Amino acid sequence: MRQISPLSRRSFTTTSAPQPVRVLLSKSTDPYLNLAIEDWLFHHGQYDKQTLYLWRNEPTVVIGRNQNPWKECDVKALERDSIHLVRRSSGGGAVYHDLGNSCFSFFSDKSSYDKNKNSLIICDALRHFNITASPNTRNDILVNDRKISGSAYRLSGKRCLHHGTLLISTHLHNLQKYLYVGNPYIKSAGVASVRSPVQNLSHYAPMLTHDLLMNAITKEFFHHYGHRCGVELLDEEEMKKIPQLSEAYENLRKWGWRFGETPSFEHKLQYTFLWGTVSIHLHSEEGRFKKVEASSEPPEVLEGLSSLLEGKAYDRHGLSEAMEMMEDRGSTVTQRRREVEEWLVREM
Amino acid sequence: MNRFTSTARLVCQRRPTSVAATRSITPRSFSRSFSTKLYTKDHEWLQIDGHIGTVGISDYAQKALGDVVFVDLPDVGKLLTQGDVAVSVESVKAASDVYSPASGEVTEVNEALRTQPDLVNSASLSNGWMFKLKLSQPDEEIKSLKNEESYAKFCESEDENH
Repeated sequence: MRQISPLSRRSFTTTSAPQPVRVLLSKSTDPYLNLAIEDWLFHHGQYDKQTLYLWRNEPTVVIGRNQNPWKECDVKALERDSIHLVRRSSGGGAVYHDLGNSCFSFFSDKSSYDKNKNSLIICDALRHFNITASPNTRNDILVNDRKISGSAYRLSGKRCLHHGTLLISTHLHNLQKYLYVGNPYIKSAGVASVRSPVQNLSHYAPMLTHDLLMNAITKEFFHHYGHRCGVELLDEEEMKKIPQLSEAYENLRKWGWRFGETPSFEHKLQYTFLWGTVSIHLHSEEGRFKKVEASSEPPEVLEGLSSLLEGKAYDRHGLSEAMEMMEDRGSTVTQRRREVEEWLVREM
Repeated sequence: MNRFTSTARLVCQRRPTSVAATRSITPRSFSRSFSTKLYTKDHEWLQIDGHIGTVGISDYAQKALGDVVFVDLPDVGKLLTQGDVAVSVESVKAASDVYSPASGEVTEVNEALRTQPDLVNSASLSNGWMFKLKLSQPDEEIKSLKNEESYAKFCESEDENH
């Protein structure tokens, strides 16, 4: 038999040879667990099968592998409102998840990896609800020029993961509230998000739910590969018993991954108080203060702060720890330092 | 005020002087082997100069990646075993792992990639190198690597399978 030519294989006809499939659905809404399951499937999945994993998270901001949380989102607001901040292992930009957002993950062996085909499966599933959607050049899926789905990828040798979001009925106000347009005073290495106008799918199909859409995607997945299988329902407690999975779970929760993996960045700040001007140029590496250039008029307000900050976490806890260690210069200076600290916490 | 200048000097000093990058003069008898690159099936290259190996990715790999926007380099001093994930490269929303083609200790990383990750695209075989390592067992390990010719054939067969 002759090989099918590359061109005809890329035309996504359903005439290609059937391939074995596997479908998993997470019952958990814990973002760390859901991403740990994904990580486990990525490393220990069955690459002789086309694999689809479906999941959704309680309110969470998920940033890309090489992003700066302080540039991409309102870290303080997330802390205040108990919203998770999670770093994923794929590339791309920051997204907001809640139960109105569903996630899909396609795992393929490199020889059969085809992100266009995956997007086509999603678009075909949306057709079940009379929604006409199509991917753009960034492989975002759009309906009437509004983004309803964004994708990102992780590749390692033969292992390929293409995952994405689907806005069904996400709280779009929260999405806007927690994701920054990019803090202009932070100059960061790494990857900046591309902002796009978004819309919920429920705007086009009011009755649409997570279950209905996951069902349709599963059906289309079976149809495209010419094979069916039972859907594996993943139980939270059972999953945590898998050693490699629980290790990934713990790693995803660590400060060292969520913040410590931040590419190096600089933040320049200046403010004139009633008593004088303060200029601070913060350099951060691995989520910690690395080098701090601070000057104030009068100088005793910030004298010694630079070296005290070095190595501390780039957040209000690290800042107040350093402030407390500063030499006592009397009550006026202490009061001014307090004002500087409050200002920095606001700005950082 | 002069804290700014003193820190600026410190920043400059932190930049490693790229001694190894300019030290390309080798004894004549080795000149041929020095210019030769060995390749892995995952499209990394290894260039051996004495005990030091330089690692990068092939032209085939950079084309497949598309525009590189960030390179997450290993720490100097890190011990790598052949096949370990050494670098993560981000391009077009994809994070891709780069494996170490040999075992050894990382002695230097290409600092230029921190500000110019696109060197991986424009000069994948030269200025877009990623890291150098002190090879611990090169004689054993190079047996599993491909020379230019067999790597070129391998890439052709990869294309046919896609």
